[in-house]
Order: sequence, then C-alpha cells, then structure tokens
Amino acid sequence: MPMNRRDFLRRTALATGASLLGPAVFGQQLARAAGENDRYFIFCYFEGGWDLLLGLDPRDPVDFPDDAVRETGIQPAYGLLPGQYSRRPIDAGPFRLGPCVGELARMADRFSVVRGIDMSTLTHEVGRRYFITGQRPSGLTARGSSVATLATAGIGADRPVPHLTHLVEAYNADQPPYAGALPVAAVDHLQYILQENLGIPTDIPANVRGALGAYWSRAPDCLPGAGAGIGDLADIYRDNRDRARAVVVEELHRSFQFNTAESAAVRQRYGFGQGQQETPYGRAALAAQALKTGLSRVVSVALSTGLDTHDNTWAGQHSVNLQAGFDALARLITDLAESEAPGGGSFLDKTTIVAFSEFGRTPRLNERNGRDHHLANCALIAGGGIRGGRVIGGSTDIGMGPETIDLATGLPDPAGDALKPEHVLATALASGNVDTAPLRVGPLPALLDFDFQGG
Amino acid sequence: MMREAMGRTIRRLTLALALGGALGLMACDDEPLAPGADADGGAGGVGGEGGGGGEGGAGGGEAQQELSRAAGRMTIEQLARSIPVVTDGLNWTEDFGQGPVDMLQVLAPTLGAPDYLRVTEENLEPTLIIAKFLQDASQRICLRWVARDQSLAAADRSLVTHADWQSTDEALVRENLRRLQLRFYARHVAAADDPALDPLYQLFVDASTTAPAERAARDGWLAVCIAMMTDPEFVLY
Repeated sequence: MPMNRRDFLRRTALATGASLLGPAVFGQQLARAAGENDRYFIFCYFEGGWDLLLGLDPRDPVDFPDDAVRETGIQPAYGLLPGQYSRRPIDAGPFRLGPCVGELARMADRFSVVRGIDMSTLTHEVGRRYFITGQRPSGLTARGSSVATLATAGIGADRPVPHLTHLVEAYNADQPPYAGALPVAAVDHLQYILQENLGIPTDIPANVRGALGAYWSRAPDCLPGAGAGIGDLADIYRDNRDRARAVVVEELHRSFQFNTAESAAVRQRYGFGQGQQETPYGRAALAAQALKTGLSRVVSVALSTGLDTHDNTWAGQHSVNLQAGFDALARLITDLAESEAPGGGSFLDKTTIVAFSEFGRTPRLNERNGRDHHLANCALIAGGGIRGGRVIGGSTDIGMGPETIDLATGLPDPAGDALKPEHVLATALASGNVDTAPLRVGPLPALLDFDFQGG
Repeated sequence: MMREAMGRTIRRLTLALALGGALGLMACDDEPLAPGADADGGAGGVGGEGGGGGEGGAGGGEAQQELSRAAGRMTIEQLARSIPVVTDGLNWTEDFGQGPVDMLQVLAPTLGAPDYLRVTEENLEPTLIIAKFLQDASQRICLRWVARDQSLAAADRSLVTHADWQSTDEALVRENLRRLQLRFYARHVAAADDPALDPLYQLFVDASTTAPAERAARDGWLAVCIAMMTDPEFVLY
C-alpha cells in the first residue's frame, strides 16, 4: 500500500523523535534513586541586569576619576549614590566589593565571585534564558532544560515538590517529569497550594474519600482505547495527582504562613514585616523554608527586581534594590549556615547557591545619568563544594570588557578562553555531584574545594 | 536566440516543478473518517477548543482514528470555559469577605498562564499544580453541583437526570454514568452495561453503600463527579 502524506509525516516525526531519545535516555540516567544525592540548590536571580560596579566588580573612583572616563570608559559615580553608601569599594577581605553589597561584605569567605562572564547578548530574555539553561537561546526561545531542572533530575524525587520556582522561568526539555518546576506566582500561593482546598473547610465525607482512594489506586481510570496519544501524558498527570494529594497530608503549609505569629522568628531573621513577603527578604525566606521543611531540593527565586535603570533612577533605585537583594542573599546564607541539615552538617554545607543576572550595566553613565546593558557579567557562587573567598576571571580596565582566562586556574590569560555562563553553572552542578555533561563544558576547578574527576 | 528560448523553457519548467512539488506537499490526502468516529472521538473534554478528534475508541468497536498532532493539556482559558459547560454554569468561586472571586483567575499565574511579562508561553504540561487545582476545584464544585442538582426538578438537572434523584438502582445509575461520559469527555458509550463503565459504577457503589441511607445517592454522585473531574480525560486531549 503506497504511503500517504500522513504516514510519511508520522514516520518522519518518529525518526526525529528517535534521534531525540538520546538526551531523554541520558536524562533518565542522570536521575538517581531518592536519597542517593543529599544535596540542595538555590538559584537567586537579580532581575533586570545588575550594576557590576555597585556590586561584584567595583572600581575605585580614585583610580577611575570622572575626568578620565574618555580614556577608561569606566565611571564608578559612587558620589551620585544616596548618602548611606560608601564612596569607595568595600574591602571584604579576600577581595573588594561595590558599595551596594550590604551584608554580603561581612561573609566573603563563604562565597566566590566570578567576573568577566561574556554574555554575548544585551537582550533581557536572551541573557536570562542563557543563564537559566547554560545554553544560548535560539532567538528568544530557551534551549534545553534549565540547570535547576538538571540539578533536580540529578538529585532525585525524594521531596514532595522537588523543584520550586518563584518568579524565575524553568524549562524541562528532556528530564523526568518530577524534575520539572512547580512555579508559584506569589509567596502566599505556596501556603494555599500545600493545603487541601486552599485551606477552605470542605465537607467531603470520609466514606467518599475512602471510596475515591480505592478508585484511584485501581487500574487507570479511563476507558479502554480512549485518548489517542495521551497515554504517557495521562500517566504523568496521574503521578502528579498522587503527589498533589501527598503534599497536603504533611501540613507543610504552616511553614509558609509568613503572616502568622508563629512565623515571627522567620520574619525577624529575614527582616520583613507582616504582609511584606513579596520582598527580597520574603522570597529568600521562602527559599530557605522550602529546603529546611523538606518540601524541595532545588529552588529558584527572583531575589531582586527593578534593576533595569537606564535613567537617573539608577542612583536612587538601582542601588537600593541591589542592596536589598544582596542583604536577602546574605541572610539566606547565614540561615542555611546556622540550620542543621538531616544527616548532620549545616544546610549550607549541602547547598549550592548561585546568584546571577542577565548581564551587567555599562560602566559609563549615559546622557540620562543611568546605565545601559553591558556584555560583561558577574556571578556569585557559594555553599557546599565551593571554595569561598575567591575571584575567578576579570574585566578589563578599559571599558570593563570580559577578560579571557585560563579555565583551569581562573586567572586572566590573554591566550585563554572566554568565560561563559555554562562554566559557572557546570561548577554549580559539579559542586553538588550532578552530571555536568548536558552543559558540554567542565566546571572551574579553582572554585571547587575538591578534586573534580570529570564525567 | 534559440539558447535564450531554451533558457526560458528550463526556467518555466523548474518553476512548474517547484510549484507542483509545493502543491503536492500541501495536498491533504487524509483518510476519510469512519462513520460515527467524529461523534465518538470528538474533542477530548467538553468545550476543549481545537480538539482534533480523540480516538473513536468508546468500547463499542467503532473505527479507530489516529491523532495527527501531539496530545496536549487544556490551557487555563480552555479550562475556565470547560468547567461551566460541564457543570451547567458552575465554576470555582470563593468569597473571602469582599465578594466572590474566581479562583481560576486568582491562581492563573501560578497555574502557568502567561502574563506576557515574565511568561509569554503557557506551560501545558500536566503539572502537579494543575492536578492540585483540579483536585481542589472538583471538591468545591462537585459539592455545589450535587446540592443544586438535588433541589431541581428532573427536567432541569444536569448531574442526575433520572426521576428519583435518591435512587441507587444499578440500571439507572449506569445509564446516568453513560450520559456523564458524554457530558464530561464527549465520549459516547454505546450501552449502559458496557464494562467500561464498571470502575465508575464500583466507585458509586463504594461511596453510596458506606454512607448513611439518607446520603447514599448523594455521596455516590459526589464521588463520581470528583473522579471524573480529576480524570486525565478531562484535562488532556
């Protein structure tokens, strides 16, 4: 019988699908049994493109005065900041940081800074999705799974909500369904999600619940032969339906009711009041609680927003928002360091934290006293498996362009390689004993506190 | 001159071949639908837009039609429009003291609906949050549906249409289950004694026989409603 067009297309699609099975199978191999990899990850996104001079890659105005900006292309402009900010870089011990790093300056031994990351884009969506996935997007479309998803797949599904995100995109292109993110649009939504019927009393009699439980535990609840092509999707849905029922049983919602008297200690630690959970501090608390309560293994949160300041709001708004994000990050690190993890050690010993933004901002002020998008970027990485107090990479003293580095040592090297987001993300995965192969690059050994054997 | 003419002929022939090839690729040579397959398959889920014909596989031996597209999940918008169609006007609203709010709209960002700021594409995976939403919504909606249905005359009901709402007679229950298959999933089950209805009938029996006598039918239909609304068939197509 001659093949018709529909058959041809279907077989072509099958062939294409077969060629894509490689990553899918690889993804399956990445997944470990529950409990084998006792690690956590937190990805902290600073939305809008952060100012490197105010944060992770400062310059001293003494060395880069305004009257030399034509030559250097660098204008710290710390003098334009509100009065509470230092006019010079802050000596944080192992390295210097900008005036808006807040409480982070007191814990430089707990994190490392990566400078001179070459983003190769000035587009928010491209930069953001590049740093979320470790792969350059196709146009604006993200490619591959987000690194948070890869981390979740590498750890396993031993938590009710293995992967949680708040205001950060997540992608699952080829990993097991459990590695996909549960996104919450608001901090408050999580407490509702974790309660049956959002906490609204609902009179479902016990006998009805029992009958439904027995029904769902029996064979698949669809008509035989029904639902062409939805068999796999239906299985995923049923699995998630079972997880949705399990989530409410554990009464985890109480740990996310940030407006109650019981949550006063959390609010005090993170520095936010009742009704203020939609702040960097509330979101940091959300991330910490998700790990500490056993809800999640991997969390992505947008710690800071409102950083895309192209005009004179840069001085008064960017500085404040950036410091709020760094303060929240510092409190998160401290909380995890002081909280004991199951099995011993602190949560920080078992958690890898990455802070990132989609790109930096121009080192020279524009005509509106703001800063525009800049190709060079920085990142912060901390936690278990990460050597603190280090600086990897650098930016040039003319225009703050990304310097090439020796990837093995992290030191600037004119004959070296460009530092890319995937190098940082591979380092994060490696620190948590998760396979880095999907990123196609190795980690930065200088940032790891163990000998990475590859794989 | 002859060379020029030949060149023009070759160019026209090339163009004709290209056009013909393109038209050939566009030509649809779909197999004709088997009689009744459209009625049997139909859009998975009442109100599901663009449901391209699920398998006409209602267990009566009708012809099978294979999908030419990937299976998918209803969008939040489709779900918002489907639930009132199935329930004859009910959706999940709650009053927190400032008037009724549509919970689907409140939770839409968390459910994955795009806001066209951070999220421009809807996540159409059958995620935990969708499953959780349907679990919660089904309980709240089905309680109201059962209560409303009980109070109406048979001709005005949508959940149970046989005359005696309280009846747990097997034949009546199975006939109603058969009708609800059409209502929820647009699936025509040929006969009420079709074994495909056995699981739901067993659920009805389990819920009704463990309830006090005055609540037997109510609990049975409550359980059936929740089960059908949380079934993959309801949200996937």
